[in-house]
Amino acid sequence: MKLCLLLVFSVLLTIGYLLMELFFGKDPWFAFFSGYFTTVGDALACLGYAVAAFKFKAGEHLRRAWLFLALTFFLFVCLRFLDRFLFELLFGLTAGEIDVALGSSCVLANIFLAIGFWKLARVMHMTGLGFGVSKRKQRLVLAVGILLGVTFGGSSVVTGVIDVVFGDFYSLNWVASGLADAFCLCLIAPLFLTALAMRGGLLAWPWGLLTVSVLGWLLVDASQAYALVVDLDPITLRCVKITARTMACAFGFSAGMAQRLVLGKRFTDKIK
Amino acid sequence: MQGKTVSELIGDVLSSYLGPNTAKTAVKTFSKKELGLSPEKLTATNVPKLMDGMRPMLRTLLGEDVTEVLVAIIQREVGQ
Repeated sequence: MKLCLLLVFSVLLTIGYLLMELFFGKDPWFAFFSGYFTTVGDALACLGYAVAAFKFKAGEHLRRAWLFLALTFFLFVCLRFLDRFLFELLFGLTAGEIDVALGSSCVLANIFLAIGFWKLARVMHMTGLGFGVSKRKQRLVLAVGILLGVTFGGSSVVTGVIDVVFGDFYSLNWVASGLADAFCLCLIAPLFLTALAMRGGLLAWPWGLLTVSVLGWLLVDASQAYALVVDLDPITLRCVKITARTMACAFGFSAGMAQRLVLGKRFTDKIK
Repeated sequence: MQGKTVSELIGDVLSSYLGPNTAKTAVKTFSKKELGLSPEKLTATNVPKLMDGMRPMLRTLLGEDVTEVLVAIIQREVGQ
């Protein structure tokens, strides 16, 4: 029952934000609100991933995987609060140094994200069980995942490289972040296959919710890629992007909570 | 044991977490790998060795605590 509630919570949060965008999106105060709402989403994801990580013992593979994801979102939240003003005030950094500090932290966060998802995507390979579908189907799903990841995640890499070519070396940060982003999106395929392999079992919950979370990140990047091709007005772009981001974070939180719940005493007692 | 084979009993316990398909694959893979037997030929005496082989896989997916609970349930179910 609690597992269903996690799904309902994620759906309601996503729809709730979308409705707020539709009703108040054009109000000037909403831009400020949506910025902080994003941070709340990041904090929620951080909490869910950390809760899942600490259900495992030190040295266990999934503890490290969930912990890397938690660290990513912890960094995102810190970056939001340690804004330019605080960087200047606390560390006495110049504008250029702040750019480097913010950019490097962002790259670091994306590297953590890539490591976390890579560790999660490798789980079935590590167990030696495989995904339980034919090699042909596996290759097909992997190819679709890579295609989606490269198409949508790669757009920020291309624009970043163009900026670097024109002398904006700060854009190297966005190239690195974009590469990590594209890599994570490609991993949607093994995550989906893992969820599929676990269907009918309790573990299908965390893996399924995690797959939907990555789908949310895919939509975030797809909206950005689409905006590069079509002249999208900023309010519509924000509506799609932040709604997808809310979906990614809410489902990420639920995946972490589901992982903890299914490994809890309540379920092991039921099996006994 | 309600007329079930040892492999079916193990599969039933594992399927609560791994789902029926992966549970079946796990029993098949590890009985072949650890004992060189097909799942139908598993007996209660094979279970401790089979569980030793399955432990790392279960720990990866479920962590140590839940793994030990499942192993204890399986051993109880097959009468070991």
